[in-house]
Amino acid sequence: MPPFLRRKTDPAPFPTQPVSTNYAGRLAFIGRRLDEEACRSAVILEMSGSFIVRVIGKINDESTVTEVVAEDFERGDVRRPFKPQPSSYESMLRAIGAGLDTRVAANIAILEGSSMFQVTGWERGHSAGSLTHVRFDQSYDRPTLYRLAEAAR
Amino acid sequence: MRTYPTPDPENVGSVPRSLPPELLKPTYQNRLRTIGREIDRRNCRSVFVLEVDGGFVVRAVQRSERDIDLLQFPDDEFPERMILATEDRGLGERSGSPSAIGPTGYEDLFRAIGRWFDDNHVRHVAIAETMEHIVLTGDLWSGDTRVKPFEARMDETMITQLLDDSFGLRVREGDL
Repeated sequence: MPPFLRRKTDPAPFPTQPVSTNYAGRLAFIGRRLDEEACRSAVILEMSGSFIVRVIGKINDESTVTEVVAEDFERGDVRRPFKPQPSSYESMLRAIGAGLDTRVAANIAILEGSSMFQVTGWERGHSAGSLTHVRFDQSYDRPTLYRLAEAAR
Repeated sequence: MRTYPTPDPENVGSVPRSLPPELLKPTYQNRLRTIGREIDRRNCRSVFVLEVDGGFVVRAVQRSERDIDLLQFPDDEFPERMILATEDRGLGERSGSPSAIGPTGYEDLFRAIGRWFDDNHVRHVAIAETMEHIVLTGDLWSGDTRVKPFEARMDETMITQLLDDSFGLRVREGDL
């Protein structure tokens, strides 16, 4: 465990439902936890299937860093009785994740700014005649992301 | 995960007598400079820098191997990194930068960005290199302790201006 990072060990309350292994499912899982923490300015950095997540607390303006690993997704997520708002992290990150799944993306990073989300990573593509992964960048302004999240509800 | 190599304690002990104390201050300019130098030394590109409590986490791609590295730069190792960087001064000149965005290398680029962070009282920073921009985020701290999140998207022209300003200041300040 890198010294910077702390793992969340709280298991999801019963009953649980499986978390999809695609980006939409995993990022929505992360987003739901961010919604519970009253935070802002999220940064998500993927590394070897794990995600380093840094957020700033809305109350104390202090940063918190966690690492979300495969076992966290495997434990499943609690069922919820209502759909989240489009402006929630869960909805926005699910929408970003759906776009990443369409790209067949890998090793992604998400940077939340004051007006937009910057997404970078690699996607399936061709280089020198070979199938490989190539860089991509995409920026979502918040209104666009809200619309995508609303459409995905 | 890979970590920044721990400096040889014997080398760390040989602090250059001429090292200006300003270089050992843990400013963004100094800390990001040493990070940029390590990225240059590793010939990495596609860099993402994230400030966390106690240091920085950096994800970068090695140009030759296309491997993705996750590097850690704890603040408590910053003085050693700066000392080593200073000892290697002049050896770091490279024939070409792996980044089209930073033509003279990440050390110069991150040093200039760090100076901007310092001048604007920024905290909780993150730096994302995209194919055509450098995206910066963080919190601006004003005098009344109010925090204002900011974002900046710097294109090639803005980066060139930032580097030119930084080089000009370094010349006036004696190239610290």
